[in-house]
Amino acid sequence: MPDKEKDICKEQVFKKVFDTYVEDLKKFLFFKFQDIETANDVVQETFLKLWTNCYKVEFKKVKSYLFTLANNAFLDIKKHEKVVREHNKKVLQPDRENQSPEYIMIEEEFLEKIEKAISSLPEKQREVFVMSKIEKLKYKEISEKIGISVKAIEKRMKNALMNFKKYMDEE
Amino acid sequence: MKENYDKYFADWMTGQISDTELKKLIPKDEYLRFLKIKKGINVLSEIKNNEKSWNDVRQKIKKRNSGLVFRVLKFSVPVAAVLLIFFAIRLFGNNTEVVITTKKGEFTSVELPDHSKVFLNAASQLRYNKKNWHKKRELYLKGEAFFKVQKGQKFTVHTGQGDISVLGTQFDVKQRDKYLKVVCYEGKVSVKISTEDFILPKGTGIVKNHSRIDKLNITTGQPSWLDGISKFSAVPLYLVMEEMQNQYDISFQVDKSVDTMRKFTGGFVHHNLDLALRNVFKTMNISYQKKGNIIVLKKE
Repeated sequence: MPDKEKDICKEQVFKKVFDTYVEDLKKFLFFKFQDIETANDVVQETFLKLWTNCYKVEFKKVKSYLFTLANNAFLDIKKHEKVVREHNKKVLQPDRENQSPEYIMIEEEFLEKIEKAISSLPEKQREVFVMSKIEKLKYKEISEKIGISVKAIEKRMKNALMNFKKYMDEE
Repeated sequence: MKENYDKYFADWMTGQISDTELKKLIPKDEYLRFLKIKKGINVLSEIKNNEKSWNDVRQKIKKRNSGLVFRVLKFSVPVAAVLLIFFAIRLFGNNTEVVITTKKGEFTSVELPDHSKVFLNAASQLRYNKKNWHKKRELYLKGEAFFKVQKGQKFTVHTGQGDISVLGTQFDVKQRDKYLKVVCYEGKVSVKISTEDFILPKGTGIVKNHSRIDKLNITTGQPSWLDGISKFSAVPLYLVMEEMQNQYDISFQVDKSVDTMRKFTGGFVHHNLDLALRNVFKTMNISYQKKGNIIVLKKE
């Protein structure tokens, strides 16, 4: 029987689906692409596709629909990249002077460790660390939000970073 | 030594030391480790920032829809038509995709670019591309509609339960959840359900309910709902109740004593709820009580 809370074509339901799966989708795609911008683009395209096909998708199958779309997009992009690379090999002169910047790979375990490191911080330090480095707020904005001076924030931030680094270096 | 590095880490992360200065102060592998941590934090920040992602998705949808989608989902636009009905339209930017949605208890008629006509029943949605219509006559249906198709190219209706194709004819398509019913009133209709193909000559129909498929023979000239009555022949009660919920703004609260799988033969009117309830439940020996919008059902 039709259910109002399961109609993905309704904005509230669509938003709820978005909130439920967006983060996992971003992580899924980031670890495949190792590039957060591309991951973000594909996430947006995936939800756009869900929207345009909302009447065709069963609510209980939405998770597998989203991840299948995302994975297919990843495969398409990789296929295209391969074609471009092959083309470049034939057409362009190899340029030995041109070095790509250091490629740094972020593994799942590493990202998890960062999250644990942040959780391990004492509350006051964690608050400032999260607001500044995760939510990207300026010290002035943080000061207004939690009611302490910018100087005090600087001090907490320094301690937070040092404790954070210590945790990251353990094991 | 390690503590010094941590100190450099804090100063570098807060912008007091630049990358080039840092490179001079610590060994290369430490520097790469620093970069990795900074990148990891940035990635985490991007992953956690879902407000921005949501706004980006909305932007993309708006771009496709020329800014009307979310607004229209909240507000219906009243349109003066012969029958004074309300329906919601979503116009998709350059693509000129048209979406027509009816609410409970409403129905509307649509004329397609080739003068084919569609009569859309309650709680249904129709989508088609206006610009590409002359190239390909296809549309997407969720719910129930009656089609009067002008002779011409292949005309295709996609539903979640199957695809229907015709060449100039009159037919009715009803799709609700896992249920699909197609009846051909004139001409010939081809119905494709997953991998099976069915041809329906005039006066026949097909019903698919979950995985069960039955053929039908029809004697009337057009669907009864166009006359303001919904008629059923040996249809499980819960489907009849579902259709009532589409025609009236009600929902049902069903006591355990009521068997909603029982077959119902008969009809209910669209213009009077009390009469409609009587039409259905009196003959089934089910008592009904109106509590605002909720109809409570119990076995008599």
